[in-house]
Amino acid sequence: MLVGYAIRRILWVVPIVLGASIVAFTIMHVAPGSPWNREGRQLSPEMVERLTAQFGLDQPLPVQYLVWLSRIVQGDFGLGMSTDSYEVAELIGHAIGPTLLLGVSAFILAVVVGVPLGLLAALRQRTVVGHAATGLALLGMAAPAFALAGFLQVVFTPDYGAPPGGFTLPPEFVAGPVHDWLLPIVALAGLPMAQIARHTKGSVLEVLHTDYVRTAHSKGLREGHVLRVHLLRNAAIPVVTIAGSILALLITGSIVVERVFDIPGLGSVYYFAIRGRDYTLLMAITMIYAVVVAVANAVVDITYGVIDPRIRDGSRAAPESMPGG
Amino acid sequence: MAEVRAADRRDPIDHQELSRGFWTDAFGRLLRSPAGVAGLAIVIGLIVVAVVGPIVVPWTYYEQDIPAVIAYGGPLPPLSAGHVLGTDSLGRDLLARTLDGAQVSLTVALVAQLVVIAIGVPVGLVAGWRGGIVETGLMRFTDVIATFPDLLFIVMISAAIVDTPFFRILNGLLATFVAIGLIAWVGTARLVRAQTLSLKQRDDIEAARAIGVPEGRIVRRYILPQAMGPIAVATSLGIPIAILAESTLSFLGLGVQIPRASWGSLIDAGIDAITLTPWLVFPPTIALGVALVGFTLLGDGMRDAFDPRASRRR
Repeated sequence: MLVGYAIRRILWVVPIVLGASIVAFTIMHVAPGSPWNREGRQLSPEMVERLTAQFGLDQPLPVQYLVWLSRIVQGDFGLGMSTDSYEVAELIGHAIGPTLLLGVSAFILAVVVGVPLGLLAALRQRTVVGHAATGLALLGMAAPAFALAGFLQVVFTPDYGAPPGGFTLPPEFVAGPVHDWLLPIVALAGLPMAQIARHTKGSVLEVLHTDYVRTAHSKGLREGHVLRVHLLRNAAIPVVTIAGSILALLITGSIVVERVFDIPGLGSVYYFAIRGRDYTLLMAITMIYAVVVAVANAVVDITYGVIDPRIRDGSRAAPESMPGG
Repeated sequence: MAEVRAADRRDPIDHQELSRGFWTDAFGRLLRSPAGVAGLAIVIGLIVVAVVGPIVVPWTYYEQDIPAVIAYGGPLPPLSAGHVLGTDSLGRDLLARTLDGAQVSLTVALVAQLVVIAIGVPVGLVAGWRGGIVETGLMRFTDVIATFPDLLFIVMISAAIVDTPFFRILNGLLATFVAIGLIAWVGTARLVRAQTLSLKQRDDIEAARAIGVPEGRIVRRYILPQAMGPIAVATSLGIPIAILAESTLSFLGLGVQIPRASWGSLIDAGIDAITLTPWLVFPPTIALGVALVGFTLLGDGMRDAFDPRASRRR
């Protein structure tokens, strides 16, 4: 039963990704303008015509899409459209490592800080600790990656004059791994951390007021036992479901954080693809993101099916992830 | 556990308090939640500052105080005479630009939500009410959009139209509304559909159908008003997301265009000039943070006020 559900859910990734690719392809190709006729890059009409033919942009849109799709399926991402020709696949291959490292670290940090913060906020409600935890989670909501990144840049970097209230750290410390890795990871983890904390808090509070937890308490079970067996297990379910949205936050955040901290990752490449209107590159990265997100959502749903059998029976829909995902 | 019971006792729904109408009740509940009140206060404060601020500040967002910059020998730091927050390297007053950013952000947030409602509500109503192949088609399309990170689609739409004349209308403001609205409607559509589906099965709606009340009239008179609460909640929860989307777009150079200022583009400029003028990055960052917290609190308060089940557990 579970295996069947898992297979069906994994197969569902294919139409989702295809759909996303059609939407993305249409958005990018229907809009007027092309990479070679914008300001600062004037090419002769003959050149534009040749390039247009070379990239197949003179074909009808469905034909273009099918050609693109058949190449992508074979692992051929094509040539980039900006200044110099290069293999998109090669460029992405170089960029994917730093992004993975940054993203995974930020995810771990967000979970390790966010979950306990949410627990504290829920279990120590109306105490100083609880209010502090809630406040900290709220502060995280105010810190989207680019705001936090700029802030950290100024505060933790001594060469930038003397910002009001800024620290100054020894230069060797700043030039070292702390500045290169710790600050970007913190900047990227801020908002996901806050989301996880808020979600954990809400979920724990909901379970806290259920009849079975009350019963467990009134039976005289020890606090620790109730917490572990009845509370955390049930509260974990909704928190697992926001993993997909957290991934989305990390992806969009990485575009900004990599630019601010000059990290040569996928996000930086995406940023320059946007600035250069490099549609081949933009489509390639978009599809990588789409596949990653769709697969992650499938894994989340399957995990959810393992925890809660009603989902895979179809007797209950998986809860909707939070808005903005 | 005593706390729980106290919370239950305060709950107006359990207590059969005299109802003064759906909206009044919800607003009353909003005013009784500390988070809701704080959010409302911050949001009202922001709106007042965004409207009154530019009138009070002697500089406009595009004016350049060249003489002062020349006299000082560079961009003015904060607390300079005439420029409380200092100026950028072009001599533009940072306070005036941050205030303009507030206008831009609030405008985008509200108008984008109007686009969201204009698309999401009809789609959800039609899908939920019609059912069948119409519903399947609409909801599968919604699934595709919803699967993918909102912000990436929004960035993609903006990147695709950034060179067109359409994009230059209102310095990119119009395109930003449209890009955000075109993607962000899916949440509202799903919500309205779910609401319509559950309302459709209620006895009063079935009775109305049975006696032959025209469909359009049922949807307008019975379904839509009942769905207004959830729509209001979704809309207010969507505002911080729209603000974040707008500032990210502007940060990437795909949102509001010069000379108008957005918190996103101000932060971008601040980071670019971080060695020379580190103070530039702080005001827009703090303003953005305050706006996000304010609207998030208000959204939470709205959700609790309109969903008594949710407020009981909090």
